[in-house]
Amino acid sequence: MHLVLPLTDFIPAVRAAIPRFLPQTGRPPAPDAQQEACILHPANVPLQIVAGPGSGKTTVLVLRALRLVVVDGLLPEHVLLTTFTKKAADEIRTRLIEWGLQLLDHLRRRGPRQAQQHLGQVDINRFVTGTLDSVCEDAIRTLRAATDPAPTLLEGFAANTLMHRRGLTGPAYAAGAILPNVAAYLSTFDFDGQPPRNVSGLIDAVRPLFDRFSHDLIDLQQFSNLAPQAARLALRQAYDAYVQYLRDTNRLDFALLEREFLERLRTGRLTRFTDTVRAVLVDEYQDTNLLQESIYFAVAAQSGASLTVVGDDDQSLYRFRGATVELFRDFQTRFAQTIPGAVVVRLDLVGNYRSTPEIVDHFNAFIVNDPGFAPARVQPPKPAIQARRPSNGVPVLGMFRADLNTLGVDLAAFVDDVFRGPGRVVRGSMGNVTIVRSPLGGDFGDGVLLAHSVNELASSFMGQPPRERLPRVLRDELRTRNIGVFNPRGQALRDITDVQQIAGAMLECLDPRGAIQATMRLRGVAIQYLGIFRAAYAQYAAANPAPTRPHGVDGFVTAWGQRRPQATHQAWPREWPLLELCFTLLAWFPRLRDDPEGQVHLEAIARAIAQSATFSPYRSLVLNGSGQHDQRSVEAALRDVFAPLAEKSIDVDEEIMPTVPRDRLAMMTIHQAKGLEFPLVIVDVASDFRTNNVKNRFKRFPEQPSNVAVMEDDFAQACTVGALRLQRTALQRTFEDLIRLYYVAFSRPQSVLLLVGLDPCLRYSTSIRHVANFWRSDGTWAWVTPHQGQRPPAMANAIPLELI
Amino acid sequence: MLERRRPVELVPNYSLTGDLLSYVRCGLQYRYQNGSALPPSRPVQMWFGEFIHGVMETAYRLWNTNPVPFPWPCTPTPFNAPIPANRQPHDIGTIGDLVESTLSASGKSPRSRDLRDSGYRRAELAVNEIGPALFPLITAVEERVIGTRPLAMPAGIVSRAQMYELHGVMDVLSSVTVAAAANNIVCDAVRAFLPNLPPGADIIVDYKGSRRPPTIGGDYWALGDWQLQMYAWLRSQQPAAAPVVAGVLLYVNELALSLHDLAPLQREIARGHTDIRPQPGSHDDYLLRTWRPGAGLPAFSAAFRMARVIRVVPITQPSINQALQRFDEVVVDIESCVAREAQHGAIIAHWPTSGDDGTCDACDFRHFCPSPASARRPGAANYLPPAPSAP
Repeated sequence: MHLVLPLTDFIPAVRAAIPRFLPQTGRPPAPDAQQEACILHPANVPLQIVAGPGSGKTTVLVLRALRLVVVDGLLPEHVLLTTFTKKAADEIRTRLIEWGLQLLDHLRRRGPRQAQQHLGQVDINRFVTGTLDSVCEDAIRTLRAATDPAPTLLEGFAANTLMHRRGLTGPAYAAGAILPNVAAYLSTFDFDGQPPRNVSGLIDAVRPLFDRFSHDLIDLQQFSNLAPQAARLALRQAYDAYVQYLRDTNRLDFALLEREFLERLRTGRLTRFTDTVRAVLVDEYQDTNLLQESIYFAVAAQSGASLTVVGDDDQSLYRFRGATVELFRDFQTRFAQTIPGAVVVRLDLVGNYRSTPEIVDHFNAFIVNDPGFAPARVQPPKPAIQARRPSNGVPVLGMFRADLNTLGVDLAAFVDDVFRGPGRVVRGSMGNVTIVRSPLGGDFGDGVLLAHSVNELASSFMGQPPRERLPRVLRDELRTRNIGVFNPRGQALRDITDVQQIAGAMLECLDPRGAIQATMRLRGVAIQYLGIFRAAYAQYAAANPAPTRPHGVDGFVTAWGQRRPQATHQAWPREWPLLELCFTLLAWFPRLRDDPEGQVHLEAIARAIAQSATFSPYRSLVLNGSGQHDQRSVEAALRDVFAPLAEKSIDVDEEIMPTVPRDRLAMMTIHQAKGLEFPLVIVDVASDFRTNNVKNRFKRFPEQPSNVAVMEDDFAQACTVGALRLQRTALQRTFEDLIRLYYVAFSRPQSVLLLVGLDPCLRYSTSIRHVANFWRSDGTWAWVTPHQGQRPPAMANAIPLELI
Repeated sequence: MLERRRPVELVPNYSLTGDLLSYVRCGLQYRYQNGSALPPSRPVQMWFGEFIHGVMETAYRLWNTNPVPFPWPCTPTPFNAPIPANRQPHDIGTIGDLVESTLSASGKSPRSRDLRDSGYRRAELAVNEIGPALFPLITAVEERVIGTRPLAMPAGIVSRAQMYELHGVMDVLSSVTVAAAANNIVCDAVRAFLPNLPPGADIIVDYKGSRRPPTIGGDYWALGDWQLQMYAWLRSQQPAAAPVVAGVLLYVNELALSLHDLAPLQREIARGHTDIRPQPGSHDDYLLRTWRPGAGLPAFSAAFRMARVIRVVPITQPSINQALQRFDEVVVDIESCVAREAQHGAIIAHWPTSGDDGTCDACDFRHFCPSPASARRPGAANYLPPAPSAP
């Protein structure tokens, strides 16, 4: 590497070239001193940046990447920059291109003469950015030998089906039943200690195990030697068979994709990749798993690339996907062990440019509230976050009500006042202050409801109708005010009315009145829901929805069921794609074709049909005039598309929508909100908790380890990070995950944070303990202080919220 | 007072063929297929195009590491039968299995045996008739090119983007080898258009899994030209890139036309809507003029077939500028639709329908399209989509 622009000239050049960093009076310099230190840190010294929420880590990563090009003489194609989600990767790429072009333009006009030759070779578009998955997929696809096939990446539903058919069937599932020893072993990872009851449950239980085999780089020999040996051996055989089948058919699931990449790295089949990379920058490193760490370390070792990792241990959320926060916590020692002689420097970013001081004080207090959490943090922990925005006078708010309906009504009124009405006056530290939308086009898109789960209905119990949760109550209440919400994950796909109706219409087309279905062996839940789908369609058809000329949906479906062409002089085709039938029926389903939420649901159905074509014997075609194959093609569709839909095996993907419509209130899980910010954030901390029910303690004050923590313990002897994790008990890790979850939630807002829930949890003598309400793992509660007099006050007496 | 949420800023990434040409075909269809990722119900054309591309790319890579002389054998694996014994690595059947397995794993398969046979027939001809001329000229295969362009959005539209990223994939030939090669059909075709090839220039190549489109009556002819112009611009954005002076499109289906292609070809020739016609009085001319529906496939000469396969497009700065302007407009249109949809929360009203009859007939969304081609003709007012008919 040779210097092109003197290092000392880099920040001045950034400030002169990029309007966002132009010095302005009354505004602190950007980048600030901490950010500057990270950007200018020597390129060849590994760097760990511990970055608090809102501290500008994207800015730092992007400017550091640009500095490597214009100061250290790398070309953009030498710089690999990965992050956790596609959205975050898009944002980083946008910044790189925008700022990179502005900087290059400036330097080509005003930069030193000796830099021009290098700058002339720089193509800003050639930075290698993306999620690690996307980078691996691209490398495996493009850097392969002529005779290597390009692998196909399998998505969840298809991968799970193949896992069942090509892996589990035989070793773990035979003669229509799960092997008892396998079922017993899997029950240890179930919250209620129950074994999986059917194939769907078996898949749900085994998928995290198989993924963890990859993520934790499990020594399978060691795993299968442990007790209970028979069950582990069966699962190992199932895994081997599944992996072999995928290999034989050029497929990879997501976990195997990175594993394949690592194998190719280690066997020298990616030298074109490692010969090119000179610098690696990794965002969100706190959610890295062992497999990913191994990839980064292998790339660094083989290429000699400089490594910069950025993360925040307090925001690690993805343990259930193998994320191991200890890898970030111990990064300095782990990297030095792998790359002899490497000395990692740690720098902290603690200036917060997102939130008001009131909000920053709240999450600062939250993260140190439980002394038991301190040992789980990076040592020494990063200092308290410092608010760099001025106060707007709005304290952290709380809305707690006696019952869910009242909460839903009052919350709907609040957001209606803020985004449609005159605003809402609240009492602040400097007097009354009005919370109201921005005059510059403020709308519901400026707010969000965050929750542990955004399911609109609770699970049904003992045949009772499912209980409505806050997202449903709020949706209904907002609907009465003509306000829409965007919550495509609010219900399972199978429970959404239009999905039921169109699925029922397709079923009646393929198999009128279920004559073929009746001859098949389907699982109970599938039979139940296929009946619900048919009934939903029948009810819908009875209303004769438009279009009704020249016939209605009923006429169409009846003709289809009879394989009777409605156009004259036409014979019924020998084969017809199920997907085309679905698209044709959209004529009667306006929400699915035109509404953003409906579009997410339609995409899930269409994806399921298209994916089933990759493994289903009739490739999602409905045959006619082919003898026994006619019926079998229908059976294949019922088994491979409709039964999975009925069994909740098909997931929605809201990422297909480029943006959430601004006239709707978005609801999302805290996990989904990672990396996002909103002017107004409503966090549902306690709308589910009316009593100290033992069934919901795991969501607020766990008394037993989570399934994931139990699995980590179970795998500990078969993987190299086992001992590292066991430094904290499974219950401690479970607690810590909950603390990190709410830390992320509380640090999303820019201007207003509103906590909502039911008020029993705020009573002075409440038994409803909740980490989000500042309960500590030792059973003490920060929101109460000793009371005077004999009787305790009704409500906690040190609640740091302005209750509205 | 709440602030407005920082709008998502993005440099959207557009593929020239996958996005821009698709939007030009029809905005609403593009929205569903590319925006919502709704898969096509009949991915036959996709299979065909990707199969030919895959075979040609693999064949080139094999040839590059071990230049086995042409012609290469073609022994496809029969349906539901074992792989033929003793097949060689460069057998087009072996290559085809590799490509087919990849396509099959992503749900793409030929609809019938006839179509698969046709794919192999064309792939065999492509490798053995185009390969010997083309492969020795290639200096870069499947080269990925990316460029960024500013985006000037109309006033009043809150856009997520100030610029856009455009990418494409191309094969590149060197003008030096093209100028020097004798008895090479690709070089002869290029030199016929550009007798004085400047040294140190590049020529770009792309395959099309279709027949040669008519020069009049449809956008495909012009779109092919613009695509090459844009590829030339993208190539020029790469550091130290040589100037591109010509582009070559290879219409692979012309190597072995199907019976369905003959009537349109007769029509286009009769109307003067195609640039490559058989020499009047030639045997090809006789075969084509006397062909009638129901008759078999005429055996056209290799020279006539290759002449229709190869299309050379001269590339100059003005022609590049014209294509750039056109595609910038397309991206502005797309981004305007994205912005309107985000503002209003509905899809159909905010995306234009612009398909021609052929596009609309094959469109998965024709049954609720508010304005298919047939309803856009003069006099067709107040169109309401009728209920679709089974199937």
